[in-house]
Amino acid sequence: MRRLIYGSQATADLGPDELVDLLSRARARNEQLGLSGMLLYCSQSFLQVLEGDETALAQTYGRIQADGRHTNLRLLLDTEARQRLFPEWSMGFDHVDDEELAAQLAGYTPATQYPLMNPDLITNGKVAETLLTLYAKNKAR
Amino acid sequence: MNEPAVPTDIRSADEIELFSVAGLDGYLRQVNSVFATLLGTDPPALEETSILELVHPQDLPAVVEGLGRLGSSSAEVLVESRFRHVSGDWVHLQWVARAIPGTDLWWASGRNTTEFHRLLAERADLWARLELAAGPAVGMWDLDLTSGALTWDPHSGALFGAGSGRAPSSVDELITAVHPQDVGAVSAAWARLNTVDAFEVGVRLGHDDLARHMSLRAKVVARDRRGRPARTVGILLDISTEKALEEQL
Repeated sequence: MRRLIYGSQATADLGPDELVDLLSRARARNEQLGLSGMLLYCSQSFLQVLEGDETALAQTYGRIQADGRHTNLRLLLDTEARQRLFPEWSMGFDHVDDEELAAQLAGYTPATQYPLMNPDLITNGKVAETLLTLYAKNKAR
Repeated sequence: MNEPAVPTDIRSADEIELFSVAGLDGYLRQVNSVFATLLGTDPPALEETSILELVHPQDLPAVVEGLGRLGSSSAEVLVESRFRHVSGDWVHLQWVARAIPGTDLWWASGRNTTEFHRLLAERADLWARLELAAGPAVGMWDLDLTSGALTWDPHSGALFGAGSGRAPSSVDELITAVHPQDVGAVSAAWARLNTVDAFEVGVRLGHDDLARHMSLRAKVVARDRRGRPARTVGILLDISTEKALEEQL
């Protein structure tokens, strides 16, 4: 099993409806492929961790590379993983009513304790991994 | 590989300031006992812990940005952030970090600024309570006699009337706002500060019968080598209501 983390910028800012749609589609597709992870969206930038089978990860990352909604794609971490740090699939994003969305959307992570930050600030894979882990713990609270 | 620019074994060093060596991945490699003690623990408990797990969530962006800069340049990075004490309290630390050439490590030294931040918070709290008690009836000022700049707390503009809404930026401007019959008393009071440390003088603000009664209080907090006031602070308190009551008695 591998863990992959990338950062990217969205070519256009995504509104709440588009983000909800993105989460729903990604969740369904990743479940089919046996992938789990977390996607954060803040300041028109993405930070995503994906965990799972190497082939499924490569297929998914290839699709992201070809996705016109992403630009300035940066692979921050691509490493062997003994166990999943993110066994579920979840997502957090800014400029959305946290409470309302958390109530209606499975997998949505309200950034109550750890405010989201612009993923462009993150240049180190382990830093990204630690931050994503903190966000995941935040969800459990 | 170049030799690290700083000692790599700092755990046993007798440092007065907090000191650490960490990786660009955010994980602490070594910390001195000052650092560990500040967080209520010992060095081994912090080593191989990510600094991000110790930092206050709201300070994470600044720390992450600092890590990014350490990875891309040899420039010094200055960060002010809160770290979690084992008790759950937050310790304010101001730290300077620099990458160690030829490695993926950086070192940092810093100081505890918790007391400074506590005093700032205490001052803000005191000011909030003063505002609550006195409302818009009091303004605090600070006069730098070297530059002549008179500065006021942000809410003082209201004391000078809705028309102006701006507090005077010099003693001359303040005297201009005073009722003509009180100018002499105010000017004399300022002049007395060469020989006394404080004054309180009653003045009216405004130039007509509607002028409001104020109490202007000043205290010299610093003098130059010749003994002349260098910095004076004080308050301007609206006592119109008290004056009106006095006149009714």
